[in-house]
Amino acid sequence: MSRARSYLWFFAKRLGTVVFALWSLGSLVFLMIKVIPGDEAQIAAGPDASPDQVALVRQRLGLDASVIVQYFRFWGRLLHGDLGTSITTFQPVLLDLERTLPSTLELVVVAMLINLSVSIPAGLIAAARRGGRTDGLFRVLAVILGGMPAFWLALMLQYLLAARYRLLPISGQNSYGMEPPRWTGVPTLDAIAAGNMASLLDALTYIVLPAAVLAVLYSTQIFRALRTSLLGVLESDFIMAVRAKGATERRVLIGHAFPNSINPVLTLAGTQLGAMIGAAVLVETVFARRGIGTYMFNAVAQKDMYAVLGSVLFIGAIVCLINLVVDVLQIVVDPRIRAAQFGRS
Amino acid sequence: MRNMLKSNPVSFRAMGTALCLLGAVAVTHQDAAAQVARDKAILVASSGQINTLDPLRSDYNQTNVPANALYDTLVVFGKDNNLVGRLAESFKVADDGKSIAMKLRAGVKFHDDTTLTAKDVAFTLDRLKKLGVGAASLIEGYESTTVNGDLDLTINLSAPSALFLPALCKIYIVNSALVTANAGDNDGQTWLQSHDAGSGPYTVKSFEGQAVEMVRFDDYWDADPARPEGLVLKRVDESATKRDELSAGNLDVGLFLTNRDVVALENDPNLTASWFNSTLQAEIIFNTRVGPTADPRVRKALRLAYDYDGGLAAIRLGKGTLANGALPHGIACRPDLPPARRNVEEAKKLLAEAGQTNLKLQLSFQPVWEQQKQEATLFQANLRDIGVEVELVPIAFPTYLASLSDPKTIPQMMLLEDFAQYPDAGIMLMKGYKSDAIGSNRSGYSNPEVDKLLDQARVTVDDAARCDLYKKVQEIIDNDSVMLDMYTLQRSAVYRKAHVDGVGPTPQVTPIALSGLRLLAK
Repeated sequence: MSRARSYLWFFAKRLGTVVFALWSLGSLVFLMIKVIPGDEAQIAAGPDASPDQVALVRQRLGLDASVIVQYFRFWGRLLHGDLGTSITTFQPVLLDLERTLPSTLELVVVAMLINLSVSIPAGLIAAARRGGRTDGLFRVLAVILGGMPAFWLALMLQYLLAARYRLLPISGQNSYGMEPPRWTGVPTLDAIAAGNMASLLDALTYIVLPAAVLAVLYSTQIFRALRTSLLGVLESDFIMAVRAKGATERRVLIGHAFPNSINPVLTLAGTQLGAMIGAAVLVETVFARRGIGTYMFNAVAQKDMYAVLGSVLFIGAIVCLINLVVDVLQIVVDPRIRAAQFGRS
Repeated sequence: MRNMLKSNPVSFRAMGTALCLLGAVAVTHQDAAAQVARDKAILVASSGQINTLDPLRSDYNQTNVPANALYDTLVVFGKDNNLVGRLAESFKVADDGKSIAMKLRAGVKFHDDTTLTAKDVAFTLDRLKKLGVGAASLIEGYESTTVNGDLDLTINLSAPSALFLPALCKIYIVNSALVTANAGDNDGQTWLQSHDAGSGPYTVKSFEGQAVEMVRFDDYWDADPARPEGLVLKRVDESATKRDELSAGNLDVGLFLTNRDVVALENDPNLTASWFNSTLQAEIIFNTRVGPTADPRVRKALRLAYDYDGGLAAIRLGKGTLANGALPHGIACRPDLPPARRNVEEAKKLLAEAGQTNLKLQLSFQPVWEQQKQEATLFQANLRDIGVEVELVPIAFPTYLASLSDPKTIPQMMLLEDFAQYPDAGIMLMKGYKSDAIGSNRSGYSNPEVDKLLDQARVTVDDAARCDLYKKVQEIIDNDSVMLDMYTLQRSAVYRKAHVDGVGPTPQVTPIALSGLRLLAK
């Protein structure tokens, strides 16, 4: 098979996997919602609605049809780009997601930046000073921080850094009157688009603490994975050869060992991005931020079927996309994987 | 560029300094601008998702609170729980109870400057009837509206109903032309989710689900310059977050804080922590149709087992009043019943009479509410004292609602906090205890005598006579031990004492009415 065809086949397989994963996810969530007790029509009609009113709403929402019919209707609409209408907000779910998702993505991206910018240097330092005091300190810190419940940590940091010492804002996304005109729904980007430096600085102060809280748990995982991977690579024969050539320890570590240790970090970071979107709900609740986590939590609590399905599929699609990007990055970064996938060039 | 910066560190520093200064100037400028507006605004933090601003869902508290600032109703309950006109200048129920004649206040403007007419009232009620959701459940029996003139109308009912007129205090009148223009395919529900079509003291500036920002409507018919120019209602679920924001001065009013946080803030010199009587009542509802709790003697025994005083003092920090009947304190037409008391010996005797030994029961509760979780545990411990084992069953509210459609699926016992949509005994009794009120009769209670009295009350136009009927019903319900009525709870609000005034509930809006908020004169 030619190299071009190999690449095409690789992407076709990956795309097929994504479609299958999303279909499975959607079907599973649909069935789970139907199995969970609770009547969507009753919720939409209100707690004091009479049986006649509930019946009217059930008919209007198409809930009087069999589950199979509802299932195919859902996928039929989805193929036309319609995720349905929320029974609680009365908005197209796509519009609800457009309002809530950007804020969560901003939180997750900033958290990931903090995560990587802390865990990678820490992993490098710990591996370089294996068995030393710094390594020991970092490992103990990783155990302590990794074991902390995110909710508790969020409340503690919020109390200490924001409420007590007033170093950062306590909750929200902007100060009163500092919200930039909405363009993307991401306060920092919107502030940049509006050319409003004050608004940008304001939005950044609001995101630092929630993003740091979200990053903490995940950075300990990346730290451990990188340290372990680096220690393995540093013991390998080619590193001995590099040292024999007279390379400095700094060059050995950053120039040779690190690129060869990055694969587990890439895989883990990819997985973490998806997990962070799910975990964002806790941080969003404590810091009173809008986001898809809070939206989905409400949707589940109120059995808002299309809102739940839409959120899950959207997050699923993002996770699939991230996995695809990670796969491609691994192929680009690691010649061993490239050779295994497409043969030697 | 890189080379330039390397070769000329002075330029780099100068540029950095300039950027910082620019940023600082911008920050200072923005802060100053925001500060001025901030002084004229009131920021309120509440809990729970504001799903929609459509007043159709005024039965949902998170919608009712902002709707009360954006819209007006035809009537409201006054201080003594008597109905007074708001948009309605006068109203009269026909002798046969089948229609209500109304004259509207002249010169009321909607936010787009159109004038309120009888057509808007007809449109609002017809829309509710057609959609049949939310507040529509409050106006069952609505038939049509006859528009007699720009300001004159007659509301026609399918059958006489004493419940209809009070329910109008929760029906917010919408601008018919504006809603029609934005009707879409769902009678304006999508558009009204984030816009308003009201005539209230505020109009929507922006709505993001987590926060609704409103600005004062200066052409309001009942305008008051002391009202803040801006009003923000934002969602902050965590009580600790609200507590810290209030202490820091970032919030002006905090609602739905835990009792513990409110008590903690009572010592803050910049804040006032107020407690208000409410119609919120904590109760345990028995399934009166199926299982051991179908026996009134068992229900009576269970009522005698609970430690009311201990629960109120320890769990609710004393912020409430022991219940004395099915309806909360603060509602008119309540009989003077003695509050429930714990009496273990009497409870054991009743259980023995009922032939119930080694009784095992299930108590459902919503674990998301911390205080209810504690009350469930206390009840479990109390029942052990009379030889009854209780299994605690967590339940989500939607699941509970679905269970009410059939007495066989109603939980054996359900711990709940319930409040009156508005202070009318009739609506609470009809919805809660009439045998045909499936879905809202949460105990499955069925008593022909009660049904008969309630049917009679529905068609009784004379207020005093109707009141007597309601009292009789409550006496029967209490004697039947349909529920374990724990206590009527107080609600709280914490606010900045140097900035805010007018914090308090109205009979139809709890915990506070946003339209009542005022800025303190500096």
